[in-house]
Amino acid sequence: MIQFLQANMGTILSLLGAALAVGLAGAGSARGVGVAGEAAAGVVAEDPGKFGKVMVLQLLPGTQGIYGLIIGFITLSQTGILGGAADLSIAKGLVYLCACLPIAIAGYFSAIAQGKASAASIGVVAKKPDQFGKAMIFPIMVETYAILALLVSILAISGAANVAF
Amino acid sequence: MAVLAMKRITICGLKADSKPILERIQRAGVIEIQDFVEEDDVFKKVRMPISASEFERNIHDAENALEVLNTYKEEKSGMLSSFKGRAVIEEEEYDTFYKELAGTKKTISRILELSKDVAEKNAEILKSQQQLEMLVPWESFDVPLDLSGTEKTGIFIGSLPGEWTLDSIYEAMAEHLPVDITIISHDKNQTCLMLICQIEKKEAVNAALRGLGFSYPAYSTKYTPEESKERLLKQIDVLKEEIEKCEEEIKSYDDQRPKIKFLADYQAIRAEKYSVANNLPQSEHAFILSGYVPEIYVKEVEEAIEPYTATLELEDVTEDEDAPVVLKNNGFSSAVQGVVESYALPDKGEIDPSFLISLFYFVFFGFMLADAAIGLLIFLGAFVLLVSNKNMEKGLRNNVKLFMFGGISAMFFGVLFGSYFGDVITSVSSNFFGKPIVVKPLWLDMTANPMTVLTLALIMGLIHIFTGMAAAAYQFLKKKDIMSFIFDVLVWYVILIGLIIKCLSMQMIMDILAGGSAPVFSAQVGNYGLYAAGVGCLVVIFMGGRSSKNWGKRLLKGVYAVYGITGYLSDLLSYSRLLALGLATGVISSVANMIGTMFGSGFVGVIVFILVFIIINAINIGINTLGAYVHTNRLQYVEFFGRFYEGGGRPFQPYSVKTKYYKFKEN
Repeated sequence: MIQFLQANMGTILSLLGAALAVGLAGAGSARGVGVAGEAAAGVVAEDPGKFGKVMVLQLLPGTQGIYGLIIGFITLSQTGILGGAADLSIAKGLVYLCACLPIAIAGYFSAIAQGKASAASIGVVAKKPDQFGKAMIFPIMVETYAILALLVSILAISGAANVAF
Repeated sequence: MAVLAMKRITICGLKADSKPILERIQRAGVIEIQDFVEEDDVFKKVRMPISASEFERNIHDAENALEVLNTYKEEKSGMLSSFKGRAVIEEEEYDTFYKELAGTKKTISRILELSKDVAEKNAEILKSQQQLEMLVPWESFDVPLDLSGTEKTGIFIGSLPGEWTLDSIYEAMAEHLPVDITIISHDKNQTCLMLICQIEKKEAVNAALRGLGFSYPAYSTKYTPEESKERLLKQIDVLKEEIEKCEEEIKSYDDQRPKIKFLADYQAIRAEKYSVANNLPQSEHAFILSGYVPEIYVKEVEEAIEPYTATLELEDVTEDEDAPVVLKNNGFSSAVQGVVESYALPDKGEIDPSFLISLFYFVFFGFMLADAAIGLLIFLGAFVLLVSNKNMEKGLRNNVKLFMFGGISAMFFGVLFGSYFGDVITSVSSNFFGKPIVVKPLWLDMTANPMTVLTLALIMGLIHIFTGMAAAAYQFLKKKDIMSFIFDVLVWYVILIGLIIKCLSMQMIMDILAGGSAPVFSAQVGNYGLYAAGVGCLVVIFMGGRSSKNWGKRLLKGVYAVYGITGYLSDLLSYSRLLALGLATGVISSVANMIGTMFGSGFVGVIVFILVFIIINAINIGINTLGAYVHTNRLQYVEFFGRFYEGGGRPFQPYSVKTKYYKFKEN
C-alpha cells in the first residue's frame, strides 16, 4: 500500500486536482441552476410564454461546471492519465493539484451566488419582460470571477507542463 | 447611423376629411400623437359614439374563436414558426375579407355558441353519469324510488348510514311493529332498504327513521331503477351525438381562420384610430392633430394629407422637452440595435452607440467562440432562417442577423487559431485512417500559447475602452462642456497612455505578456511616461472634484477620482474572458473527439464517435453561443457604456397599424 502510494503519489495528487475542479465547480453549478430553476418554474407556471427568457437566465450559473470540466480534462490529458501513461513526480502532482484549485473554489461559490442573482433576475423578467437585457447583466457580473479563476487555472496548468521537476 | 431628429408637427384639417386623413396617417405610422394644443372654447375633444370596449370585445371574441378552433384542430406550426412573422395581405385578399366582415362576425359568434353548447352538454353528461352512479345500490330493486305509500301503507325507500342487518333494523323499529323491511343492498357506508308500515304509523316511523339518520335516495323518479338507468344511458348517447355534431360544425369552420384573424386585426386598427380620434381637439368644422414626427418622415405625412384640405406646421423640439427617441442604422449596424435598445435608448445629448458597438460586437463574439466549424454552422443556420422567412419581424430579423455576422467572425477566429470542432480533423484522421492530418492554425494555437492570446485580448479591450472614452469626449464637445472634456477624458488619456508606456518599458511586464521579448521603450522613455501619468493624477486631484466649492471637499473628491484608475484596470482585465471563453469552445469539442475515438476505428467505434460527437457538440454550440452572446453584451454594457453612455430616452410610439396576424401592404 505504502509502496503503491509512493510510486503513484504524483498521479494521485493531480487526479485529486481534476476531481476537485470537476466535482466542486459542478456541484456549485448544480446548486446555482437548481435555485434559478425553482424561480423559473414558478414564472412559467404563471406565464408559459416566458419560458425562453427564464431558461436563458437559469442556464447562466451552469457555466462554472463546464469550466471545471475544461480544467479537469486538460489536467487529465496533460498528466497522461487519459492516455494511460501517467508518471508524475510528487512535486509535479502537487503543482497540478494547486492549478486546479482556483476554478474548484471560485467555481463552487460563484455558481451558487450566480444562481441567486439569476433567480432574482428571473423575478425581474416575471414582472417586466422587456427588461430582459438588463436582468441578464446581474448574473453575468458574478460570472466574471469564475472566468478569472478559469483563466488562472488554464495558465497554471499550461505553465506546469513546461516546469521541470 | 444615429438618433433621428424629431420635429413637432401640427396638422389642421377639415372635420369632414378627418376620417380618411386619420386613416392615411395611421398607415404611414410615423407620428406619435401628443396633445400640444390645449382645449379651449372653440376646440374641444369630442367623444366618438363607438366605445373602445366594443372593439376590445370583438378582438377578444375573435381570439377566443381561434382558440376554440385550435382545441379541435391544432394549427400547423413548425418548430421555426416563431421566425415566420406576419403574412403580408394582398389588396385583393383585403377586399374580399373586408366584404365578408359581417359574415365573419357571425361565424365567430356561431363558433363561440357551439363551444358553449359543447361545454353545457358535457356538463349534462357528467350529471347523468353521477345519477347513474347513485342508482348502482338500487339496481336489483324493481319499484320506482319515489314510491311513498299505498292506500293502507306507508313506504319508505332510502338508506341508513353504516352497515345494518335485518335484525338490527327490526330491533330499532320494535316500537312501530308491524313493519316489513327489505334490505336491497348494503356496504360499509350505507344500507339501502325499503320499509313498509301501516299508514297511521307513518309519522312515527318517519321520526324514528330520521333519528337513525335515514335519507331518501338522491336521485328518485317515478321509474324503476332499471328503467331510469336505461333512460339515462339513452340520454347520454343523445348528448354525445349532439356534441359530435357541434364539434363537426366547429371543425368545418377551420378554413375561416384567416378571416377571423383579419377581423381581429381590422378591429385592432379601428380601436387605435378611434382612441386617437377621441383625443383630437375639434371645432365645428375643423380638427387639430399634433405630435412628434422624425424629420426624415415629414414627406410621407405631407403625401398622406395632400389630397385633402389640411395644413401642416412643423416646429423644432426645444431643449428641455421629453421628445421620443427612435434609432435608424444601416444594415450592418442595425444588427446590434436590439442590443442597444434592450439596455436603454440614448438620452438627450447622447449619441446612438449602435455603430460604435457594431465595430466591436462581432469581433468579441467571434473571439469567444473561436471555432471555424461552429461559426459556419451558426452562420448557415442564421442565413437559412433569414432567406426562408421573408416576413420575419424587424427586431427578430436584426437579432438573427447579429448571429449571422457573429458566425462569420467565429469562422475567422477559428481559422486564425486553428480550431475546427476542436481538433476533429486530427483525431478523426489519426483514429479512423491511421494517418494524422494536422491543420495548422493561420496564426497560432490558442491552447499552446494562452499568454499571447491573452495579450491580444487585453489589447482589444484597451482599444474598446479608449473608443468609449473618445465617445465621451465627443459628447462633451457637442455639449460645449470643455472642462469635462479636458479633465474627465483628456487627462485620463494622458494618465493611461503614460502608464502603458511605463509598463512597456519594464522587462517584468514584457516577460509576462510578450513571452520575454525586449521592452518596447527604454527605461528613460518609460520614466517620462510615468511622469506624465503622475502629472495627470495631480491634475485630477485638483480638478476631479471641481463641482465642489469647498477646497477641502474638492481635494478629497479629486483623490477619490484618481482611485478610479483601479476601475480602468479591472475593466481591462475583464477582457480576459475573450481568451477563457474562446478556449472553452475548442476544448469541449476536443473532449468530444477524445471520448469518441476511445472505442477504436471499427464499426462500433464509428457509431460511438458519431453519437458522442453530435451530442457533445450540440450542447457545446448551445452553451457557448449563449455565453458569447451574454458576455459580449456585458462587455458593451459595463466596460464600454460605463465610459460614456447612460441612456434613458423615451421610445417613439407612433400612431400606426398594429396588427397581430397580418401585415397590411401600403397601397
